[in-house]
Amino acid sequence: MNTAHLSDEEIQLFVANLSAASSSATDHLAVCTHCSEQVALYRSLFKAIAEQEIPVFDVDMSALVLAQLPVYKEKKSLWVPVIFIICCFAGAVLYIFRQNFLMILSGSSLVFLLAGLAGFIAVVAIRINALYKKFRYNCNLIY
Amino acid sequence: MNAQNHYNQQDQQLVEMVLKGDAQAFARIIKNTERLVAQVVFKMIRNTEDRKDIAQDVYLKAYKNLSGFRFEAKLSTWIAQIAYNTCLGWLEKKKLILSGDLESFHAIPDDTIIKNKNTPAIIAASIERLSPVFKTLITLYHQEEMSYAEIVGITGLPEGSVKSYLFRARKSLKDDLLRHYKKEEL
Repeated sequence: MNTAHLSDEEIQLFVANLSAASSSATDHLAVCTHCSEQVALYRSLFKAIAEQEIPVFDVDMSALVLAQLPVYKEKKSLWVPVIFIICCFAGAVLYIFRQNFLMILSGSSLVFLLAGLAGFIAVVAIRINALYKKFRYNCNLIY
Repeated sequence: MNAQNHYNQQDQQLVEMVLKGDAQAFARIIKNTERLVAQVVFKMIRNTEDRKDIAQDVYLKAYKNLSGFRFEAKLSTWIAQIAYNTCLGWLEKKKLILSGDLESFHAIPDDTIIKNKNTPAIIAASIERLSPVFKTLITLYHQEEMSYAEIVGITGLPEGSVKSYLFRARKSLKDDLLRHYKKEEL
């Protein structure tokens, strides 16, 4: 049997995890009053630590934090009003300069007319796509 | 399904809800983790007002970085890690960490201990005398019943250091307790 007292580390290990303690430590504790007292002291220490008051914040933390979270206003899609404005503008231009357009178009082929129309649609489509991409980017930035 | 998976699933659901814009889900995350954050903040920081400010800062940081959370640890562990690092940063900024003297941090006279008859009160006073890091480790291990791995996850300290600091902290507390009992006997 080991007659030397157990080290503080061995006693802590014994108290914290009985299964991890060596059999020689267990044998020694069975006969040594000094080490048994140390074990009792550590046991009361561990118990007292576990019984310590749990601290709580004296404010409603979630309310405080939620009030500070960045507010993101739902961004409304802009492409509908933009297209509406573009159409109005194009309509106004066509109406105002209708005589000039008729003069231009009277001398040109149908292909030229369709090409112009296709170009206009392409510009509108590119613009819509760019606005949509910007909208998605803004959504991702929120979180 | 084991408990770990259950926690992860619940964490994942809450995080997804927050990322979709559900602020109430974040309020639930706060409720779920408030105890652990309070344990860390109260052990690291002494001033009441500073504690509140730091705790708010912790949650704002968590909210800001939530999309980067990869579920490699429990959400509570991740938030506790933010809390620990925020407190450490604050202490460093205020130059309140005494390097090389981690055990004795606050000079609380022994009379405080002697006047209190019950062991938890003696221990409470003794814990107050420990350094912020030691206090936190003792609390996480003994009160929150965390594993060494979880404590390592929160503090970023090597496991060997966690074990060594815990040993030194317990020994210091035991010596205080012993001193008190001896004085009581006289």
